Amino acid sequence: MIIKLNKEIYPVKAVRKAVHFYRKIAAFKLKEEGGYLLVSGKPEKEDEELVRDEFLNFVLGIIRQ
Amino acid sequence: MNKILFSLNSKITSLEALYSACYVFIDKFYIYLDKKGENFIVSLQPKTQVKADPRKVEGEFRNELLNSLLREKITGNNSKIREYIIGQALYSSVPSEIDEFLSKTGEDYQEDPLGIAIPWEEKAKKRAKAGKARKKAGAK
Repeated sequence: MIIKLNKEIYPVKAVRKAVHFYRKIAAFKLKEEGGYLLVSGKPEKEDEELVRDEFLNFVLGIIRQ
Repeated sequence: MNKILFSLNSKITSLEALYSACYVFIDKFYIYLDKKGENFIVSLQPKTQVKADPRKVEGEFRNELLNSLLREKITGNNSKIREYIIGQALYSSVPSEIDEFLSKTGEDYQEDPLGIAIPWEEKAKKRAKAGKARKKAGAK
C-alpha cells in the first residue's frame, strides 16, 4: 500500500507524527519523491483501504491541531 | 454513495480555510486532498453507506469553505483589537508601580494629609470660622 500525499497540502511534520501514531497498526515508511510524500507499508491485521482512509483523516486532524 | 470529487481554485481558497472545512466533514467522510496546478482536488468518501445527494454534499462543503474563509478574514481584521483587549486585560491584572510603592511606604492613596481633596468652599468656611474665633479671643 502506498499513500501519496502532496507536500503543499500535507506538512511533513504532521505526516511523520501520524506515521509514529500508526506504528502499532502498520509499520509505515516515509519517503519524499518530487512534490509528494510517499507513505508505504502494510497493515498487520486491518483492512488496507480502511487503514489508508483513516490515516488520511488522522493526518488532517493533526494538521488542524 | 461513491466518491465525491471536485476541484477548488487555490487563488480563491486558502489552505487554512480548506483544512477548517475538511475538519467539519471529517466525522462523516474520508477526505483526501491533492493539488493540480492552481486547483485543490477534494475527494470525499462517505464512511457509511448512506443515501445522500453528492451535489448536496459538495454544496455543503463549499458553503462551509465560504464560512471558514469569512471567519479567517474577520479574524485577520480584528487581530489588532483582540491583541489590545487581551493586552489591557493582562496589564490590569499586574500591580502597577504606584501600588507597589504605596505598599512599601505603607501609605494609602485615599489618605489626604495635606487636604488637597477638600473643596475650596469648605476650606474657606473653616478659615472664616478660625478668623472669627481669633478675633473674639483678641477682643477678650
